[in-house]
Amino acid sequence: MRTILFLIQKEFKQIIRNRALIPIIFFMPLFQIIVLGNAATYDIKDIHFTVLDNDNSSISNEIVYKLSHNKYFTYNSNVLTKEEAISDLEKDNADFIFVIDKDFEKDIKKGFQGKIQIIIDAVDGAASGIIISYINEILKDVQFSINEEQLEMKRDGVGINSIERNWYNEYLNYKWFMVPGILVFLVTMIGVFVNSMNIAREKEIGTIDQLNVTPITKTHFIAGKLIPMMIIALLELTFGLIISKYIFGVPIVGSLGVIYLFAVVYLVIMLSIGLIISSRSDTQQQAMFVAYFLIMIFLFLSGLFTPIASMPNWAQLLTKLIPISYFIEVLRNTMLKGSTFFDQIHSFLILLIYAFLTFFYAIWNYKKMSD
Amino acid sequence: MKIIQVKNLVKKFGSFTAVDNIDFEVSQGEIFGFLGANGAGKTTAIKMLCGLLSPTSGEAKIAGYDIYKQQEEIKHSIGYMSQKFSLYEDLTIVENLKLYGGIYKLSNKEIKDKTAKLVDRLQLQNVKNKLVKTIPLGWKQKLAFSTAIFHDPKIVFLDEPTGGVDPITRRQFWNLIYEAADKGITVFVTTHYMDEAEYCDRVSIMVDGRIDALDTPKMLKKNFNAESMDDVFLKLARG
Amino acid sequence: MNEFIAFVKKEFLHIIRDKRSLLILFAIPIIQLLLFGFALRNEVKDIPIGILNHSQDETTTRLLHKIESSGYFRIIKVFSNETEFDDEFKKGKLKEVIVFDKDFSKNLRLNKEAKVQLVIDSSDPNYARQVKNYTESIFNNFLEEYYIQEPLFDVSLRLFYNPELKSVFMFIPGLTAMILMLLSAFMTSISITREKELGTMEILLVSPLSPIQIILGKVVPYIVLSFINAIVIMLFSIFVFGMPVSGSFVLLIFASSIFIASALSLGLLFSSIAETQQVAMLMSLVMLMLPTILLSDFVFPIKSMPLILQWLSDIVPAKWFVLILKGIMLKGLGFFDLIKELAILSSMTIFLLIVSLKKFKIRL
Repeated sequence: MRTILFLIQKEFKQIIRNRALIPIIFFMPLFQIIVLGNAATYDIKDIHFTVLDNDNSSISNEIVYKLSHNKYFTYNSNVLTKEEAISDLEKDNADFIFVIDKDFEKDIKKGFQGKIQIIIDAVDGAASGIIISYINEILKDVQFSINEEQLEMKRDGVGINSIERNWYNEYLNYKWFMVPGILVFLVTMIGVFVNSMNIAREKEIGTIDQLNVTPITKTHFIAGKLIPMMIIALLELTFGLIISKYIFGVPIVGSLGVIYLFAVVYLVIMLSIGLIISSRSDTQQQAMFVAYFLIMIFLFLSGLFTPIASMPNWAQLLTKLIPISYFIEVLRNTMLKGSTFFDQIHSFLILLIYAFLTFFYAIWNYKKMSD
Repeated sequence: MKIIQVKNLVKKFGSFTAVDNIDFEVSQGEIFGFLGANGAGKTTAIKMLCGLLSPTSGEAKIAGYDIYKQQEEIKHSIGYMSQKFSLYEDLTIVENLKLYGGIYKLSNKEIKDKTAKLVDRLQLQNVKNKLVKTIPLGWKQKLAFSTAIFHDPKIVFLDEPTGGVDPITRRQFWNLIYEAADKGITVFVTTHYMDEAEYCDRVSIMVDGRIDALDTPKMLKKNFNAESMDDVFLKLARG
Repeated sequence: MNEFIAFVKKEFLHIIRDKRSLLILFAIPIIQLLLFGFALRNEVKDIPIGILNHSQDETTTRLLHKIESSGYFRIIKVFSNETEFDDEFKKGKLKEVIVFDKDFSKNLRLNKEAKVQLVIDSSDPNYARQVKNYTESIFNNFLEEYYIQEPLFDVSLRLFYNPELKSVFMFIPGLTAMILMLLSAFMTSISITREKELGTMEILLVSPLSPIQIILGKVVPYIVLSFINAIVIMLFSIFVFGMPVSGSFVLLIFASSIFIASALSLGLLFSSIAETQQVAMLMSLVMLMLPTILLSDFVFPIKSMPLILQWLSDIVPAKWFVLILKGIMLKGLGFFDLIKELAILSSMTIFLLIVSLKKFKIRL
């Protein structure tokens, strides 16, 4: 047991003395959370549109008016030709074009439908969907107001009025959603990466032989390499949580104890994985590539950028293998919803099993004697 | 009982045989030289004896312990200094000693006392708290050796310990080896410096994975009708 | 010149002989592209919802039936009162609860406002918004059937560049940029520090090769590798994911080359600055990964970000490359349409090359 303390001391000293390492594994991630926490948002803002109004009637003008004075849309201009309008789309000046047919008002007054064409830059499919729904809302609005005033026609019914109630995250603050996720990712990335190069580095330099020749047990060896990074990662997590709370205002409704408990189990998994990669690589370069590959998979399948619920079924199954998705979910649930330990005991048990598996595999896999 | 017993030890890497059926014994307290040209298989052999490399076949006993079944017992009883004298360059001299002392389960007091003695012996008072990467090569070598025997092992294995330094430093290094041997530590040293062979009690010469000669330097010179160990080696190599 | 060629050959051999790294180098982009290209989706489906129906009758039953058969929703719990909501939401499986007012059907029949509440777990606001949209669109469909209410407007929707609203079209350009940037930067980031750490750098420096030749020599093999990678990625995008190439393929290759060069230069820069491989690699990873993903219009629209970040994104090479990719592949834009973006990307690359060269000379 005492041996582990000696090892931990050694690892710490090496990390601290590596002057370039501290800013990179400490300050850069925290800096990134601050900067990038502001980047992650799906809020659709600043939607530009160009109008091609061939009718120029009171109804068409009212529609354009309502579209322009809407908080989501920004009116570009009214153009005269379709070419001009489409050119706006191509140049990315407009996100959609609103085209009103020549006999628009006349048709409506005659009892027919007035023709509108909306051409959307649909590259961002999800954004397009949202734009369409905003436009529909506005059109619905116009339709109802026209009904009563201008047409003197009796229209049936008012329809369904749905009221939205947002449970948690009342203000739909996307940062509250993203920042915990980014935090977890950064802490994970650093931990896995640094650990994945650790043993490979000692191999490349040659100090590994000196250790292998001692009676040090594999368990002590691995534990001695895992614990220092664990401490650093927990420190980072703490700073990250402070930043989340005080800079981004993300609430911490649930218990910190739960967060740290899960964090420790989770970090055992990730840091062990790093050490496994390191044991199996001959050079730091190899270790780095493998670590990078895994980190990317963790990142994208974690549900951080795209919802797991939207992935195809096979991908959703895969995400169940990925520890980071569990931890991000736990962090979010605990922070935003105040979920308790028992609400999430399912995740805890899974992570615990993973932790045992990876830690013991790391020990078993490390060979003091090579073939 | 001989402290090192090796019988028919073989190491193959694929189709390449690095160590080809070597046989020898070393007595306690001996300074045993393991000579050979670069690539002859010395490092491979020594790594097998230290438990760093698994043998393909053959038997060996270190301090009475079997190298297949009693690995950990062996490791308590040996010290090792590699070609790269792998101390941690980003730790200080004292920190390196503390680390290995701790790993070998010396008590804090023991570590403190031994460190003080060592610093004194090697005259490292001015640099003991400096990072290893800042001290000169010769001192690193002596330090590496001292670290290898810090825990008073029965045997110490030295793999090409004197590379890259001037003859005076080499001579000083060998003084350290003599001191260790006087204390009863068996010294197993590989080298490609043939003049160092003269310092050993007995010497073996490896050629292409086999031991082609094994005796005291005096006897070898006599048998090969050579003036120096260099000559012995050349005659052997020419075969 | 001969020394240079010999040097480049040696660098090539180094790489080819490390079979494991080579395998990883080629396998990584393909696996990433396939995995993420197929897995990353924005579309919403199978939303687990609950119902609290205060107005149990035929109308609401019909509406509920419509909701369930839409394929978007899965009713997993029927509530009897609101106090049960919190527990279920906390467990994380429930995303929405639809609450029907007591007089829902009555009001609908009497042509008054029929009230319904959509209680949505908004911890993921984007998902929440989509859930709301989908729910309301089903309500609208229901209304049309119920009332045969004809809208005043005939709205025809034309979706340009991505008619099937495939989220994959938005992701592939960003994925491509990210894969190329990270891989290329990684590869070169350790190239110089490796020699420094192993001590062979000094040997290089006393050779007749000039610093420029050394840098170029180290980079050339990686240029070739990255180029092959880029082509493979393009081919996969086109044939496996059905990405169109509305514009010129040649232009695509040209732009990719510039981008790869910028990535390699970044790697070189890190390599010149860092003392050890570990630091060089960490620099590449930490400083490039998240900015490339977040500020390149890959997942999050830059337009929606605070102004400062929009400016910041201007210095991220990936952002310009993604613009170019989307322009060429989806919009069919040509060289002159994209000349501004191409010019910016090229200048960045040249700038990075010059800086890394300077750093390399100084650091000797």
